[in-house]
Amino acid sequence: MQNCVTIKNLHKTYVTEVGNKVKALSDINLQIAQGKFVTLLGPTGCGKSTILNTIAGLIKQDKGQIQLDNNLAFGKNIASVFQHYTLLPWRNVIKNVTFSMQMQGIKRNLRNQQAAQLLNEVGLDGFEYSKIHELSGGMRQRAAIAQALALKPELLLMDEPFGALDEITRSDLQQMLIKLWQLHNMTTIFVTHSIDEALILSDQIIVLSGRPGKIIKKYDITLPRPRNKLSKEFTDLFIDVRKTLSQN
Amino acid sequence: MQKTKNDILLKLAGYILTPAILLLIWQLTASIYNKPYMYPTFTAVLKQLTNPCQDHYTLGSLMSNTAISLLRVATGFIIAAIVGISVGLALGTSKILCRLFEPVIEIIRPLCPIAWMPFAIAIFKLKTIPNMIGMGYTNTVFDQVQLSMIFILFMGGFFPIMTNTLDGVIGVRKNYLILAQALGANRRQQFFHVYLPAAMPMILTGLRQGLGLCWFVIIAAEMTIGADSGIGYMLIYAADLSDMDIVVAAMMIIGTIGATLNFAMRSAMQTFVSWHGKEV
Repeated sequence: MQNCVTIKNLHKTYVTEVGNKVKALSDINLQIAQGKFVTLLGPTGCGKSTILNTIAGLIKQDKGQIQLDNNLAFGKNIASVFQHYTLLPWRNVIKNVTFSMQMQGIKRNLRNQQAAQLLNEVGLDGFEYSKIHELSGGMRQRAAIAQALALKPELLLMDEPFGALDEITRSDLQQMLIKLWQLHNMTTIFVTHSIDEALILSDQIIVLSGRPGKIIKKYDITLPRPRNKLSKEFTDLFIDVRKTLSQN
Repeated sequence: MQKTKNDILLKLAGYILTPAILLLIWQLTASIYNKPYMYPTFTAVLKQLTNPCQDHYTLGSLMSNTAISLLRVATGFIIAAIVGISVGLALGTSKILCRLFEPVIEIIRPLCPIAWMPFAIAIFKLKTIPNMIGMGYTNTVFDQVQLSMIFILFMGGFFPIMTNTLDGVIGVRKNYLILAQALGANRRQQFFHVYLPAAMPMILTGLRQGLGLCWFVIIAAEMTIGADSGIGYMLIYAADLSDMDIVVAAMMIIGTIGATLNFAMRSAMQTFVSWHGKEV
């Protein structure tokens, strides 16, 4: 299978305001196959977000290479959903979803039509003209996903998008995300520190160690979807991943 | 339920009862004091306010002079708003311009706009807008809009508008710019669809402060050299003649207009940037 993203010997060190050097990533090598759902799992501060931001081109690496599949470009067909600041608060829901289409110069009728379809897919029918501050956290992330999908992305980058949500909402959104991922057939790189979330969603889990981030293990998850959190295979995997994480 | 009902009653009292009591005290004390050339009664002032079109000292009426002051403020404020917002946006989005001009601006800014008056008169003499565009004397209210007045109004309005716009642009969260970039916005689109709307609450705050200051400045300017019309001029003219009923009537007009302008700007803010200050 063709690789969508190839990362070779990636290194990144941050310099703090007082001049201390913090090594965030050390020698990351990674190949992400097209169409896969890949999760970067690790403790807070292990540099998983840095990997994502380097792929997006928002952060420059110190050393190493990132090769993107030809024609992949941030702001074009790479979409992203973060935990915060996912929507523009001065625009209502539909104007947020249609933002990228407006930037491309697509006519209002057409973009509203497409947005209605996307809002239906994320379960936000009837909230087209709601203001962002009127939405709950879960609804905001639904809108943010619709906004990202409006780019018709081939690669979707998600940085703890459900991190601020309660358990029940989180579970609903995970199920929705899997359906959308299957429907839109896009490679997805997902960052989380929840083992549960990683196991529910992913084809592949990349486990990273604490600072400096290093890849300690890769899991290929072949359990059929939708996954049952209470099944023996699932819980066995959970324990295995947990052990891997705690050994480092 | 009971609490909100009490609240409504309290509000009503604040709008009606408190002013009524103060007016009553005023009326009683002024009647007893009985020196109308120093302390006019409320009824004497009210008589002036209810005859706003009556001419005084062949200077025009309270109404016509108020109109002159408002027209001056409108002209000066609009120019200050256009220039102030443009400069604020330019400095906010260009670090080079900001570095080059901020020190100079910070030195000129604290200067009281009225202090510019002698300078403005020396430069602009008593030229008016119609003079400037070569129309001479037009026999309209525009003949009362002197360039020197516009200049100091500009000085009054420009700085709060510019600095608030600048702060608004500088304060735009980088996250929103990254989000817009991620959604394919180019630099021009980022300016119009992120910087401008994100800075809008601060721009409106600047406009509100600027308009309030312009209204302060024009009254003060009309009371100093070079003025021969406007509600501020009428106030000082009547004061020289000890017509305190006209003085206080003018004061009440000035205060009411100031409050109305402020209220209008605040409503505009609540309408146009209702998203502002809400948790997202």
